[in-house]
Amino acid sequence: MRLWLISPAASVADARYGWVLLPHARIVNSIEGWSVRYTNSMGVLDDELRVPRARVRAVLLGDSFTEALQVAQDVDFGSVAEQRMPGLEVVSVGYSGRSPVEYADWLEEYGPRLAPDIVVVQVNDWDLADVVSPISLARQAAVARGVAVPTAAAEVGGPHLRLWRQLQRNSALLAAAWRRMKQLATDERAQLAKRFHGAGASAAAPAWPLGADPRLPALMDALHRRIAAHAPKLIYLYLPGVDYLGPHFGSLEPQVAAFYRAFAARNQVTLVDPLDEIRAEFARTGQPLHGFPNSVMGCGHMNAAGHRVVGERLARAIAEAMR
Amino acid sequence: MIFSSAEFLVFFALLLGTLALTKWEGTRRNLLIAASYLFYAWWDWRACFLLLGVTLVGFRAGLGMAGAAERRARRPWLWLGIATNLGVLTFFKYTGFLLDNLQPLFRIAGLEVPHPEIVLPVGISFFTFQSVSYLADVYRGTLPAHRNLRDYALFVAFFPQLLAGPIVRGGQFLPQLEREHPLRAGDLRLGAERFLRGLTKKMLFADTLAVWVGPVFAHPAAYSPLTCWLAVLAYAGQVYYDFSGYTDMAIGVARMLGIAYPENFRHPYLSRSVAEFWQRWHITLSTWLRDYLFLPLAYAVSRRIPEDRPLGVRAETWSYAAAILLTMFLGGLWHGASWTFVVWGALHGLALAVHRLVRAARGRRAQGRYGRAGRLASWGVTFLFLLVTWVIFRAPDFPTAWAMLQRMASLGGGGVRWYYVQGLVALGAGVLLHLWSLRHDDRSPALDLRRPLAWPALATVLLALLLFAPLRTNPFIYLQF
Repeated sequence: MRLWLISPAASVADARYGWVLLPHARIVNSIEGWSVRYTNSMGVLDDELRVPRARVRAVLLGDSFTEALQVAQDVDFGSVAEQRMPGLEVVSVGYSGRSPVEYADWLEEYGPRLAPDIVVVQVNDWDLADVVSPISLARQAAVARGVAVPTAAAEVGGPHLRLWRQLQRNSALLAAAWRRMKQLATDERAQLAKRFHGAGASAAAPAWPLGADPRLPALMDALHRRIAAHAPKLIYLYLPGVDYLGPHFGSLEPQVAAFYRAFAARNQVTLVDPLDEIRAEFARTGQPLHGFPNSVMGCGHMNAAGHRVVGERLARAIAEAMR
Repeated sequence: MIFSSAEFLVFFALLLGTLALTKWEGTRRNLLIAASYLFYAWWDWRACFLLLGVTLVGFRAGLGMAGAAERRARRPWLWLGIATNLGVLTFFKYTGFLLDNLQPLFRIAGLEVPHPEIVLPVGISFFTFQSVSYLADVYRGTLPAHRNLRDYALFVAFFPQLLAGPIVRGGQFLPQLEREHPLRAGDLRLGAERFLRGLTKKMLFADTLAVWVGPVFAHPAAYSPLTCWLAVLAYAGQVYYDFSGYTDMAIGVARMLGIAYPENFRHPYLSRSVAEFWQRWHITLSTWLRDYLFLPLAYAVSRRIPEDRPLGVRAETWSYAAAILLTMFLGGLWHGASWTFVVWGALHGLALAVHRLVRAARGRRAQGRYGRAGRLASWGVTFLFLLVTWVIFRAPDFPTAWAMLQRMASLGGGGVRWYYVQGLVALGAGVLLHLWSLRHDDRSPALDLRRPLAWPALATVLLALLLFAPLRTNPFIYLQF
């Protein structure tokens, strides 16, 4: 099971980021796509930093799209960008569920040590909703006041919880079963809530109404300033959800795309949106650049073709920025 | 509350616990009625009044027929009962459909008739058919009218079959209430095994295949021909495992409570003719249609055919063809208020009629003279017909069905290729299970918990359910009917 299907839990609770990956961990993913990946000594899903230092070092901050557990490490878009631009090293710092709030924190902590020449912040449709989530708002307020970042007690836990997590780090079966049971319980809770209160979390809810918060522009601008303070050069890479099969090919959340364009214009920062390249590749091959044979084609994370297209686009953007 | 949900498992565990503590049969039956109505109210409490009304009218009509000595005197009670059941069914299920189809006429007449928002009570097609069968049996004198309202109410509302069958007849259910039903270890074991089989069919097979079917049927024109074929094959598997899984769970739950239900499926995809398919698929519906619709219709038609051999074919064959066409047309409509279901039923009716005519033309001597290749060809043609008609059954409308059939007929390789791994595994396992049943007298592999190796097998099945079943709870397909 741990060889082919799924690895034991490789994350540990962290006071600042909620969850981080263990250093030198082996991670097998078969939920969507399939890959076997390894973390480096920093607990980052990438190779060790190059010695001697590469001509251009880029730090790529992102969520599960950057983490790219669905594809092999050498075909994720960070690696593709490295292959397309000689002398480029991309340090891919991706972790599922993260948003610009965590990217700003991470860069403040690790930025000076890594000394990147350029920072790439990968954003997507759901980041806006994440930025205005209650826990993110609390973190941002704490940072603004200069106090310690609050952490939910459940994320760190007492000795029993730590023992339970230790067991999960040693048993792929236990980790998988526990994850499924938690998901089942969440699903059941949502259904009961819907029955008795007429409401419930819906996975199919569009991202934009959740992110259409009037505080968003100011919050995003503030996060941008924190990130930019540690980034000699900065690029935002927007990875849109794509509607491949509907009557009109395009972004699933055009309002989110418009928000990011306005954000980039307001802050005079480069925004890379590879939608046109994705459209051209889909027109050429007829195959969606999202989805896998063991998930739903056209939905979810990018497949190897998607990573290739985005990686090539990213390499061009970095080359232009470094010119 | 569907059988494969956690809330049902909690509900059923509480019910079993309470029944185990109950000494008196009367209290047990009261509890079962209360539980059945609670189960039904979980969907929509208002529908309980409908269920109660249908129960009371059916019970009174049965008593009325029992009190009438002559068949003629029983007839008004029969019609009262049937009109009530079919009236309720028509109102809730077909009013919107009828009004929508009459809109052109309304427009010509200058009338503005809005589409009514009528909530379809779940299971209405099943419990009304069950009541109608009771009334017809009492009218024919093949079943005595039941004089105990509580037991009759339990027959109509008994929760294992309430939502999606099997359609249990009075003659199958009511005599079982003559004896007491304390919880027995043997019943619990057999029922639990059957329930687990149904749960596995639903969660591991049907729900897995549903992941493949939904997106492809949403945009058939976008997918490659092979993907469309596989998706239709997946739908054939989904609808079978979904419905037979539900039936297994219903049979298992009823068995745990001491009630035996009739079988509803016997590996329908092994059929070598459409006629055989209907002897293996949704057996309680097909026998219901046969006994209460087809045979009376065939009898009525045969009386109107004057010659013995019109066009050289026996009158009996003509009456069969006419009656089966009408029966399957109505059978299709029973599945849902949509023209796609009607066409699906009509195609099956046509196939059954053609099958009968061909058999009649070939004569009895030719029957059963097929070699292995002939049997394989019969199976292939039948299965292909089933696949094509499932497209019409599954598609939300005719343009979608047409787009899917066009892609299936296309030889070009364009379109999105999606060979869903879990779906292929489920289909492969389904094929293997059917081949196993071919060698074992149509039986499915059973888990006999008295055998020592059954326990590791049980643990494996439960683990597979936990790890590999798609997470979101999917309603059973036949609940919409």
